[in-house]
Amino acid sequence: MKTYITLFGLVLFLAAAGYLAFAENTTEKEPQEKPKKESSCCSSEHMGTDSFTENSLYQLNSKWKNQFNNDVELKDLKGKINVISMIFANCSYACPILVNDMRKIESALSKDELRNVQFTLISIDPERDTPKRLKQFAEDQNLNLARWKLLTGSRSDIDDFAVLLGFRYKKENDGSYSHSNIITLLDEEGEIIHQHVGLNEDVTETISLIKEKVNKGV
Amino acid sequence: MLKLLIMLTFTALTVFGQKNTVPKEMILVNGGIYTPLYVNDTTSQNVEVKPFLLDKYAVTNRDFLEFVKAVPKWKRSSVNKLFADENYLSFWKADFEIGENVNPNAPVVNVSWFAAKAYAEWKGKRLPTVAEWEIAAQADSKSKEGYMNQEFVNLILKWYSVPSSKNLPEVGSTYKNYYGLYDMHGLIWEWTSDFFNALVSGESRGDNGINRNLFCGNGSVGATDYKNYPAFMRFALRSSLKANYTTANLGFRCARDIK
Amino acid sequence: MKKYINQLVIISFAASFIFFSSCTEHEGEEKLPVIHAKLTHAPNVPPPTGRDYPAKVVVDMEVVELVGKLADGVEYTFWTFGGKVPGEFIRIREGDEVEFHLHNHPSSKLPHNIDLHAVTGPGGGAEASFTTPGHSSTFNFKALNPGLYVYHCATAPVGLHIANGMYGLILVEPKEGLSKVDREYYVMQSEFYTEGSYGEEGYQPFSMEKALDENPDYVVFNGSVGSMVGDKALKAGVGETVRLYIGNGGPNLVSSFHVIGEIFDHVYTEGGTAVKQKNVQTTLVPAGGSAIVEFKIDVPGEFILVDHSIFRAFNKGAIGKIAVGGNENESIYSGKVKEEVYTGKKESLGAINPSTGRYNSNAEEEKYVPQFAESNQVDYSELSKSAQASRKKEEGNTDILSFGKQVYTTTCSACHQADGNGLPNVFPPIKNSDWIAKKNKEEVIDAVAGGLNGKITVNGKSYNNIMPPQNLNDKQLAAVLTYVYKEMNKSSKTVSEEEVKKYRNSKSITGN
Repeated sequence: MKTYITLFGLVLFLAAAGYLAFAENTTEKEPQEKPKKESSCCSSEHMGTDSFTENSLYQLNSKWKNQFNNDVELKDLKGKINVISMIFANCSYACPILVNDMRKIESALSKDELRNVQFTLISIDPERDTPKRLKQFAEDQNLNLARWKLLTGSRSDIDDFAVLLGFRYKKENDGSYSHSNIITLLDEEGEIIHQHVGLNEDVTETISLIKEKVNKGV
Repeated sequence: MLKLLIMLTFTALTVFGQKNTVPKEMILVNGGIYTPLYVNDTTSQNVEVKPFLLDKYAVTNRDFLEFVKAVPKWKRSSVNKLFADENYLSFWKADFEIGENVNPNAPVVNVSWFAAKAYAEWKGKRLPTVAEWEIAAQADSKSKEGYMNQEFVNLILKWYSVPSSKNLPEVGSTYKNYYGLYDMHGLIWEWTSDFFNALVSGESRGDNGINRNLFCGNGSVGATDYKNYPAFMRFALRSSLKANYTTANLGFRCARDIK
Repeated sequence: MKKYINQLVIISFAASFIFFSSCTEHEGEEKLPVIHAKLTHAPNVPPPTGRDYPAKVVVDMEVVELVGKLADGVEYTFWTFGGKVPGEFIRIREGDEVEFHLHNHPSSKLPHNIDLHAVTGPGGGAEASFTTPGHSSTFNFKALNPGLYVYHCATAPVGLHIANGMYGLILVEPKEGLSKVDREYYVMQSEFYTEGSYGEEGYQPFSMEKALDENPDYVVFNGSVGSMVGDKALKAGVGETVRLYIGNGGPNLVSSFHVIGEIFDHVYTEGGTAVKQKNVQTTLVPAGGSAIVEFKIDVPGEFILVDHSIFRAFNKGAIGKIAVGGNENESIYSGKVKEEVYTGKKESLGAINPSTGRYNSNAEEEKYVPQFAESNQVDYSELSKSAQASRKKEEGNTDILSFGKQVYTTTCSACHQADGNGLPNVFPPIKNSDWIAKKNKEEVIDAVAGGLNGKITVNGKSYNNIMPPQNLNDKQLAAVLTYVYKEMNKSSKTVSEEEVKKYRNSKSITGN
């Protein structure tokens, strides 16, 4: 934990010193990211050609940046159970609770179990949630970045993902968002296996589902 | 290669758009202030809509066939269920054939939000937002404020009240509104880019005060105009939809920013 | 509890928050027999379940929008559960687990849902069954309470969906069943609001104005004028017992249900399961409510069903018939024995005065002419004095704590919780808070009025979230902070409006 905080501090320092994203990229040992894939021009190219199961959300051929300003595609998330929420960093009420609910799930899992689980927060506020802002948010929330990804993308890609989760949101005039509060479990292939709706409520069913899933897989 | 072509088309369209602000198949809608039906009562209610371009007509079967031919992954037999349900283009005869029983100039229906969005992007356009669509649709033939005209409201209500006809008429067969847009009511429902932004639960009585635990934002959500039945019906429809749904009277038209 | 969306629900909108499915799946360990519910259109009722054990009952109901007959020569677009108004009758048994499939026909223009009053759970199934045209929704519920319940569509605008015919009845038989009768019928009253007035021929659209005025042109049984007359009259025989399941779909009116020439032997008032009353002439059926009535038919003839708000019966269509065949029984009802001239001379009423057309009243009666008595006049001056006094009290300092609590509840409690203890790891406590104790008043005012951002440590724990500036006026701010100081932090500090004003002034100077 402490090493991470030190690392973040270092990164911040480097960023402040005027390093570009590339510099950060090489400095930070960020475990999961693969290099950027060949891009396609528009979202009429939704369905990638890689092999996906029929209901895999990872088929969306969308482009994201993570908190380290690295490129991420959804198919890069394949292989682990994914605990996903959509949030915005400037949220003062629901999102911190939602993230806390996810942390509750995280802390209920053993180290072994956590090896097969990742946590993803997708921002719905692309104007304000730069990778840097998301990193700040992750630090504020004490998130273990070995497991947590915070993604930001284009409005169109956010919408595509939101509608597949059944996540509803609306931008208010004060710049904040009204949104539904859903924690979604995706299996290793990216198919929805469970959704938990609400805030600060019992997450034991979600936890036991994850345990069941990862322990079966081992 | 195809991608390159599409990109070129994009660029061409964009350049074209910059020189001639209004292509002939589109209409300039001057925007204005839109008051959403459902609002969060502590934030300012009104949404400012900037001027934008909107297609004169809904996208027709003929238009959509062209798209499916150009981007064949959107043909009926190969589309993924995640992006369009099993009724996608079900009234067409075949993947690349509309069939004799369907008017090629009738609006295309049974298309999903993903399909509509892909079509719009292929055209270098986008779907209109709810606010844009609602502003454009408020106009009757004589004025921007048609929604104030009870007769106009009753006409809309009448269309909503009858089941869909089996064979849809051609686009342009109902009325032309103040802006020059055809069939904003009376022909089909239309997709909007942010149809999912109405934070209603589908349980109309509960929507007077949605639990803060379910939706972020301060306080309760309430309707601004309890007598605007047509708007209620549109919002009910929107909130009953999922992005891969296709239904027999739901089509779309495209919008574009003014560059 | 049931807020979890089950596996394999691939994409589920926030619109469907409440799912009822988990219930049956967990409890259905011993497999219940699966029965497909037989549904019937009015006036028919499905046969008794005849079961003394619970079952899993599958109900398939289709929503169809169609143009149909409202009266002779009058057409209307009905939105229906099952193709007719009223919706199909569902009959299940207490303890049954119901798997409900709601199908919205592809030709429908609108999304629909179903709220079954027999369902225990938010919305009565409305959210879970919300279905767009050309789609189906499935939800499960357990019939916990026996009784006769209304179901209806609850999609916005709900009044319109009900006004167009979206209601019906579901009977949940009590475990011990209902007593055996010879005939059972389904009668549902409702009203329609049309642009044309009663009887005006042709297609009639819905009139929103009349619906809002609660002024219908049609009040009918079973969906149309004349649905139960002539050949379609309900049939019964002399000596038979008849049970009517009566519903009222509204949308607005309450029914005074009456059968002309009969007395209800038993009434299960409001659709409950106990016979609450015997020997009833007219029973009230509320909008969105029901009643069960039973009577034995003693003599043959036509018995007329009416809403005894009688203009509805004779001018708006609320009329139906039971045709009873069999032998006359003159000891119960003789038929007319004789007719004679009546001149209107009954002493008690006095004679009619030919010049006024009124009964000649005598002096006695005049005493009872209602008059406003002197003493009835109210002196409002006293009242207004006390009102002013209590208002003054509300505004005064004595009540600042309760006002502050009120502000706290509406503004602060969502995050800091009603008890002020906050939410662990997310929102800091403001009850017994060392942070509040350490900060001076101005800093505390600033935290509420100007917001907080960044890491703070409260009672040894660190928090890092955003507190947005709270949009409170001076009085609210003063009150809520006084409340927080005194009630939650056992502090003697108070905050006055003047202090808030002073803070705001300093802020506007330094701010610029």
